[in-house]
Amino acid sequence: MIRLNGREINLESYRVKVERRRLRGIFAQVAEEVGAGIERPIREVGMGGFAELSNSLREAMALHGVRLEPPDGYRSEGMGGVRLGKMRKKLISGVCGGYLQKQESFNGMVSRGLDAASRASQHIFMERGSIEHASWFFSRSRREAIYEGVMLRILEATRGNLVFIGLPGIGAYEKVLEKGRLLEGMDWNENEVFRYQSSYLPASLVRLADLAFLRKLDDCQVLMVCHLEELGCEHLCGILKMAERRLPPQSELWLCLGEEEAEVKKECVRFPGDGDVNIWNEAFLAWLMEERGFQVEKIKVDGCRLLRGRREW
Amino acid sequence: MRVHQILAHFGMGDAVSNQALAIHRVLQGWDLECHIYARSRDGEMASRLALPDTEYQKYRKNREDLLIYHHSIYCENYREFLISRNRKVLIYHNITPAEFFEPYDQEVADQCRKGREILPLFAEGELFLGVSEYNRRELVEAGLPEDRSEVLPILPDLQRLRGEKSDPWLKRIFMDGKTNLLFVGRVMPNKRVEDLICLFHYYHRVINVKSRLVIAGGLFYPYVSRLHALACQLDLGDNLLFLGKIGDISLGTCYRHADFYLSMSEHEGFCVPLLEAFSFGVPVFAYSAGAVPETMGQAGVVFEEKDYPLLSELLENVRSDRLIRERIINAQNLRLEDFSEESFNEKLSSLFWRLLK
Repeated sequence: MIRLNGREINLESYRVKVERRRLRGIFAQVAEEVGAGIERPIREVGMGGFAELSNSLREAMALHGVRLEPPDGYRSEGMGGVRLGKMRKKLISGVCGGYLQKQESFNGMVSRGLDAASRASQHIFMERGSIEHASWFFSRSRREAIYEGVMLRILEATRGNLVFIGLPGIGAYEKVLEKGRLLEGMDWNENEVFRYQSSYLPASLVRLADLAFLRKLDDCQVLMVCHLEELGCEHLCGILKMAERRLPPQSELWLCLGEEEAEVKKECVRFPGDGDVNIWNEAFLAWLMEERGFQVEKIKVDGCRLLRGRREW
Repeated sequence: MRVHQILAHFGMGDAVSNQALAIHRVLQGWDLECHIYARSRDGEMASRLALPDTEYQKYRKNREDLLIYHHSIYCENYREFLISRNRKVLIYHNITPAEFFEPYDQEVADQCRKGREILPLFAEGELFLGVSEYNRRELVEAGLPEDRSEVLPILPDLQRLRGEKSDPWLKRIFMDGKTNLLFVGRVMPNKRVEDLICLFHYYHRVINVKSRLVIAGGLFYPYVSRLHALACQLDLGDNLLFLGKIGDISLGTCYRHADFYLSMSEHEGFCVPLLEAFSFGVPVFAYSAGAVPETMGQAGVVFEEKDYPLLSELLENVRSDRLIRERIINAQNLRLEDFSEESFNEKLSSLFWRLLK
């Protein structure tokens, strides 16, 4: 019994809401966590995101004889190009000049370099009057409208449970949920997660720094990464590394890239107020995925570019 | 006639000490000579206001004097009550049942057990006061005569939290647009902070990710380490804040920016923080245990089952519905009037007259 200002309240409408959320799937997991009480052991605490990334880069460099030149498909122009050129030169000379003894600092530089490389492609700065247009162009709502149609096609083309890193939009998300294929949906943006929660949809918050430590992929057949524009290099590398380690055989990793690169570049701008937007080069991402053992296929659905990575083992 | 008040511990901010101070001020206003004594005193201010309990011994034999003993934990100075020839009054603030502490600290559990065991020894007193009806009933159940028992509610010292200053660090944290859920009180096993964390976990994960739980109060470490383990397990990160014992300015800041006050406590003799939350216009959700329903009266939200999903939905409803929120706050303000200085003075004076007759 619950009393509000001394009067017993009718709980029926609240029970309906609880049931509605339970049917949408998140209740069981949280109820289990809460029900487990405080007797459960503390989980193993992992390394910081950066240490993890450094280690993975170190492993990769050792494995591949340290070759960090951007792939052939990668080109840069304009103001950003100068910066990228310098960075590339620094990276390569760093590798060849015996920097391997100082791997920690080198790895840090690599990480910053990759970030700079992706930002370097944002070389066209828009005029002041276009800022509103730009914030619309890079807004989630615009991207989500694109994802909605795309997600249906992906559902048809794949099998098994889906995990979203970066929520694709309420419309698309509901479709996945209706098909009974949603395993987990997470996002790093608190406001976005709250929007989904308010629509009685299961969504959880994940810190960007924790992306490399997600342990929810064991039963996942399709890992879908959306809103790449909001991810930095460390986080993207963390996701790829996690996908390599955790995804079961025959599973797929999808990266949603949005419209044609040329079109994006036209609209490219330093995103006002909300940090930088990373415009990822398609060939570069494909290369990163291949490095992690995925067979990459470039797909275009309704004008939206997607990278589909399959692992065969 | 002098009035002597003896406590186990005197410290600024705790409910027992505040009650002793409130009585002290009223009696001084009646031109009576008053003293407060304690076995231990916390801080410079407390040392100025209270004397060591050994100082009382010289007044033991005065039959004209009045001795008020505040009983809240076992303390050797209760013997002063037994051997004193003063007229004697017991004020019972309740003692947490030992079972709550047994898994964590046997010594504290023993203190609690002994504190309850000695209750019948106070039977020689002339008047037995509980700070709530719940406490008065416990006194009667312990064998003290019902016809000499009464209720003297606590006079909450709300002004101390109402200063203009605020804690800039806390203010910055609180004003980030998140829904702030607050609990104030010592982090002890009877407060069931683990239940609070579980409720918050559900609310945060399922209903409102833009929320945080703030726990302000001294930390009882064997218990707190288990709470940390739970918070870690549930991955609550910086959405759960343990502030430890904080000063009045910081506490005032917490109340000022809190959206809700939550209590899952399973044993309370009165629960002053409920009234503090009332005074800051913070809607209170409290588990119905001990004296909590009595303190809440016809205000706030009182629940008998810890149904996290249901409570979370209700929390969200109150958060988003301005009208319900206002209804709760209005009822809480009304309830607060029952604990005004005037009604406390009136009650104290009627008890005094009863004693003098």
